[in-house]
Amino acid sequence: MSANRAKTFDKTMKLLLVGDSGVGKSCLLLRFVDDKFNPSFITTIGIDFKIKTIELNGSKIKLQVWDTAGQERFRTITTAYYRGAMGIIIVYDVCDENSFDSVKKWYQTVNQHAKDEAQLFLVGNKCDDTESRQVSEKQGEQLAEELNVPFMEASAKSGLNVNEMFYKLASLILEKNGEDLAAPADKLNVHQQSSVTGSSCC
Amino acid sequence: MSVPEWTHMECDCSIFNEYPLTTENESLKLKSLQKALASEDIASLRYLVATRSGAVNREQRAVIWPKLLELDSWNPPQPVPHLKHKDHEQITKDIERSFVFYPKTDPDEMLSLRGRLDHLINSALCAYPGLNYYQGYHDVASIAVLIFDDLMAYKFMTKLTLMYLRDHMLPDIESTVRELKLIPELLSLVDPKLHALIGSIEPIYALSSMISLFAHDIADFDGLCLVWDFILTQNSAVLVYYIYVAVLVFYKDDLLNDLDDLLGKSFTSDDTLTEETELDLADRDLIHVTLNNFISHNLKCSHLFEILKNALRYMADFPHGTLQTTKDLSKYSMLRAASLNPELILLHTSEQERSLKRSRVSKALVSHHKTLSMVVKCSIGIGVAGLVLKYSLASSGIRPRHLGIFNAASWCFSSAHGFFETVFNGFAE
Repeated sequence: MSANRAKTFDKTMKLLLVGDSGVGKSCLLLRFVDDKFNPSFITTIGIDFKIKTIELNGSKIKLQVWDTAGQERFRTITTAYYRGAMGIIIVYDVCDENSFDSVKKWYQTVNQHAKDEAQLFLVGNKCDDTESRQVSEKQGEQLAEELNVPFMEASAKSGLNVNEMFYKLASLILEKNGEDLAAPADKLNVHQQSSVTGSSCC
Repeated sequence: MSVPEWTHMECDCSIFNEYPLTTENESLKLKSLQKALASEDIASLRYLVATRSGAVNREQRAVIWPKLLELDSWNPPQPVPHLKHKDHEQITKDIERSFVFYPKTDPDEMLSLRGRLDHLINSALCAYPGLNYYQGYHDVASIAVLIFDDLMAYKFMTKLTLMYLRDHMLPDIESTVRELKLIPELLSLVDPKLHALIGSIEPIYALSSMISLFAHDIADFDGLCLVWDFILTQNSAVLVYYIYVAVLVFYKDDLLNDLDDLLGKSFTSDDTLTEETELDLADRDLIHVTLNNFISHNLKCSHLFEILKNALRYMADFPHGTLQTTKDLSKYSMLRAASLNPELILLHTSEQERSLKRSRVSKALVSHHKTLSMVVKCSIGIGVAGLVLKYSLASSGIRPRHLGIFNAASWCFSSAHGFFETVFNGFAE
């Protein structure tokens, strides 16, 4: 393969999805990158990422989105990856009150391990499921206000707000960092792919 | 545990390894398996199972696996009906995401399988004190549900847990992370060139395969069962690590091609693979993700037998007892202590807790290092300044007891001493 491919993006951004097990982190990522939804999804063990290039304010930005295992015991492994993240999305499930209660714990973990300038974002997933909902949008908004982070409800299943949340986060990071974002080095002139993994697992 | 020499010598030349296996030889193999089972000849059984088609099919495995694990003499505690393990909420979440790859079945059957899985996991974890659930254990247990009835599944899982999985079930993941280091070490012995490229990457990429005995990543039921046939002939989980390395080495060209594509370098060229291969963070991320998905994307079941055979060969050539990683493991680790006494879980747990406490204190020491050296320097500085002042004042005829400066200097000395004491007391605890 040639190392002299044409440059296909201007900037690269590392994002990270965290939150309790089963809130739909991998599903949000699959919807965003491949525009797919799989109701029977295997658990994520360890840490993995997918890549998608988006266009924002006229520049092409390569988003490298890391997906993490939700179970507490894997946290010592996953927190090692917080440091490099420019944006961190804390996800909860609007149908699972416990996962909403865990948001503050995740917020603390993130603050402890991420860079100070990392942009946080709160997302309530599964908002399509009105019957099983346990956490109202208002509660989500209040918590986001308290933590002083932007907030959105989304649904990996219906696709609602999935692109929006990633674009919004990317534009907030762009505003914060402007030209400081890592420009692609020569060796990183990877041919644009919607996903490097294409996997439904991990 | 090292492979007996005959396994190494004869594995290659068995008629049961011919490809394709003729109907005649397959029926001969089945007969031989039956004979070994009937005469309780476990050594022959192990030998026969470690050939091309393994234990052949589900029905055979239901009988052969318990023999390989010697379950006839295994008497776990009686399971308590409806008892839930402390981690049951996580277990429930994972059971909702079980049996994804297989079997292809209707919703009613799925409900029943998941019910059995729930019961099996909770009862196996409650069998011995000190076992913690981890995501991936459900992938292992789901195989037992598909092969056995409930009673045998419980016997099988309790023994498998103590023999092959217990190090992953301590309160902390530390012991698993240590064991994963077997992969780069083995790779450095088996394929130094490949090691030069990926050896410095944290082997977290192998986590899901190692803790689930590949059940998380091999989506083909028969393929996975063949891997387990080989694993279960060994009486130890260690073959799992050799198999992982054998997969990487077997698909080395594909792996290097993938990395060429992603990193825009030419790893396929011999010159690139030198000890000096330097990787930046972006390269390392891409290598991690490629390896993380490597088994699920690249492994073909038709290659499994070759890979498993190679794994046995590596194990004979580089016995795990000689590896530094093994030597660094706890003496209670399942890879070092052959005993299945469940007490080992608790001993291993308390040893790990002590070591975590020590590492927390040494971290605290490092973070206080700057403060500490500043206090010491200030104290010495003020002390020296005080002495200089004393003599210069004395020579000019002023009596030092009229001045507070000496008290300040002495306070600085004693506070530094107090700080030392606090930190070292903490360390000693």
